Amino acid sequence: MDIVLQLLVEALLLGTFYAFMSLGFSLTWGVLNIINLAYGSYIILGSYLAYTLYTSAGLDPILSLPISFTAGFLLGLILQSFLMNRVMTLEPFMILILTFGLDIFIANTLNLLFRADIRSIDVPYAERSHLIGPLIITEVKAVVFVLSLVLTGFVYILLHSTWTGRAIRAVALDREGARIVGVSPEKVFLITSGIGTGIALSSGNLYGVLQGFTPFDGGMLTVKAFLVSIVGGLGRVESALAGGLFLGVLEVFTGFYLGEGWKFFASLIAMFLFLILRPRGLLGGKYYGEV
Amino acid sequence: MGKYDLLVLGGLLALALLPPFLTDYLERVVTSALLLASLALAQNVLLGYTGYPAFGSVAFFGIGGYATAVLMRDLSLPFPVALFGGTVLSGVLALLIAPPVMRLRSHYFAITTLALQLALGELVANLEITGGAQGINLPIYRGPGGYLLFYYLFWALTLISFLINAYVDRSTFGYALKAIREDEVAAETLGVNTVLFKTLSFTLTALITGCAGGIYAYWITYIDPTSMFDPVLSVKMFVALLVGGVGTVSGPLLGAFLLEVISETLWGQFPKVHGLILGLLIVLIVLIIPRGIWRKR
Repeated sequence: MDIVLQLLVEALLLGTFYAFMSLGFSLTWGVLNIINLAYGSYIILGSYLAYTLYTSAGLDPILSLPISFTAGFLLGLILQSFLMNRVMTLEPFMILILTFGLDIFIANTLNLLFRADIRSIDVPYAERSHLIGPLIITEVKAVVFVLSLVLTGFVYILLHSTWTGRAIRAVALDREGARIVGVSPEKVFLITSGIGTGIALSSGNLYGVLQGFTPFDGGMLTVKAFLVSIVGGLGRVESALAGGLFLGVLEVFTGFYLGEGWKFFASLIAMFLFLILRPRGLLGGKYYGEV
Repeated sequence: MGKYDLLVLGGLLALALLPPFLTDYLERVVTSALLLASLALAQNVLLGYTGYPAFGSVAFFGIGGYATAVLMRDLSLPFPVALFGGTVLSGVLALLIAPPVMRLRSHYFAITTLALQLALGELVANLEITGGAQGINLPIYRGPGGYLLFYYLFWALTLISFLINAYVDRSTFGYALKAIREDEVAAETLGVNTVLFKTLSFTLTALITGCAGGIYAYWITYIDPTSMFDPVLSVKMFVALLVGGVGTVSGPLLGAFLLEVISETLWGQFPKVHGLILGLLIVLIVLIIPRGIWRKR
C-alpha cells in the first residue's frame, strides 16, 4: 500500500511538470491549428540554454527561467513571422513535415555544439531528499512541482484575466468572429506562438534539473506533450493538468510494474488509442484546432 | 499514362542496363534511390490518390524487415519465402488496422500512423524474439551477383510500384480512390464503398512498403529498432513525394532520385553536418515548392 501511495505522489509531481511543459504545445495547436513536431526540441533548447548559463555564469536554472522564457518568446515570434505564417494556408500535414524538418535541424545543431553526450544540470539540491511520514520526496522533484504549479497558474491568469488572454481564447473559438469584434487573429497567432515557445524553453530549465538530456530527446518530449494535449482537450489549462496527471500516472506505474523500457511504449499506445477512440479528449472540446 | 510518364518508364527500364557502368559507390546510391522511390510510390497510392497522408507508413517497412529477419533466423527459411512472409504480414496488419484508423483524416490520421510506427519500434526494442535494442544480424548474401541482387530487387519493386500507380491513375479502382480524395461524403453517396476502397489503398501501400523493408533488411544484414522504424525515413519519403509531385505517376520516382542525388552530393561535401542540412532542406522544400515540380494536369 505504501508503495502505491509513493507512486501516486511521484505521478502527481511528475504530472504537474508535464502539464506545464505541454501548455505551449496545446495552446499553439488549439489556437493556430499547428501541431508542432519541433516542440520537444524547443524544450531541449531551453535545457541547453539553462545548462550553458549554469556552467558558464553559475546562474541557477530556476533564476534563469525568465531568460529562457524571453528567448523562447522571441524565437516564437521569429519562427511565426518567417516560417509558420507562410505555410498555415497549406494542407495541415505539410506543417507536420515542416516542423519535423525544423526538429531535425535543431537537434543536429545542438549535437554539433554540445555533442551527443548526456548532460545534466547538477544543482546543489539535486541529491537531497526528505522523509515525510512514509514517503520519500526528492527535493528537486518538489521544487519542480511547486514551480510548475505556480507557472501553470500564471498561464491560467493570463488566459482568463487579461485582454490578451481573452483575445487568444476568442481566436481559438472562432477566428472570423474574433475579427468581427476587433481582435486581429494575425497578432494573436504571433503572441500565442511567442508564449507557446516561451513555455517550451522555460520548461526546458525544469526538465534539465529533473534529469539528464541529449540533443535527440526532443521527439520523445513532443510525443508526451501531444498525449497530454489530447487526453484533456486543447488549449485549456485545466485540460493540460488532467492530461499531465494521466501521463504521470501512466509513466510511473508502467515504469515500476513493467520496467523502464515499456514507459514510452505505453505513452504511444495511449496516444494511438486516444486518437482513434476520443480524438476530442476526455473533457470534450470546441476549439478551432479540434476535429 | 501520359507521354511524359512513358518517357519516365523508359528511363526506369533502362536502369536495368546501367550496373555494368557503375562503380560500387554509385551502385549503392542508385539502390538507395530505388528504395526511396518504391516507398514514395507506395505512399503515393495513399496520399496522392486517396488523400490520406500516412506519415507512419514506415511502420510496415519495419514489420516487413523484422518479419523477414525473424523467419530467416528462427525458421531458417530461404530469403524469398521469408520476404514473402514479411510482405504478407504487413498486408494483413494493414487490412486489420485500416478501418479504425482511416476514420481520421488529414493530420490526425498522419499523427496516428506515426504513433503506431514509434510504438512498434518501442515494442520491438522490448521483445526478446526481435533481439531487443540490439537488433538482429542476418546472414550475408554470398550468391551470384553479390550486392547487384539488391539493386535488381529494388528495381523490380520500383517498377511494380510504378505500374500500380499507373494503373490506379487510369482505372475504375483509381477513380473510386480519387473520388474519396476529393469528397468522401459525396463518394459514399454515389455508392462507393469508401471503407473498402480506403482499406485496399492502405493495404497496397503496406504491401509495397513491407516488401521494401524485407529486401532492405537482407541488404543491410543488420537491423535494429531505430533504423527500421526511423521517422527520418518517413520524412525523407514524404519530401521525395513532395518534390516530385503528389498524385502523379512519375513524380514520386523523379523526386526520390532528385532527393537522393542532392543529399548524396551534400553529405559527401559536409559529412559532419548532414543531419543539419537534411533538416534545412526539408524546411526549404516545404516553403519553396509545396506543390511539387511535376504538377497535376
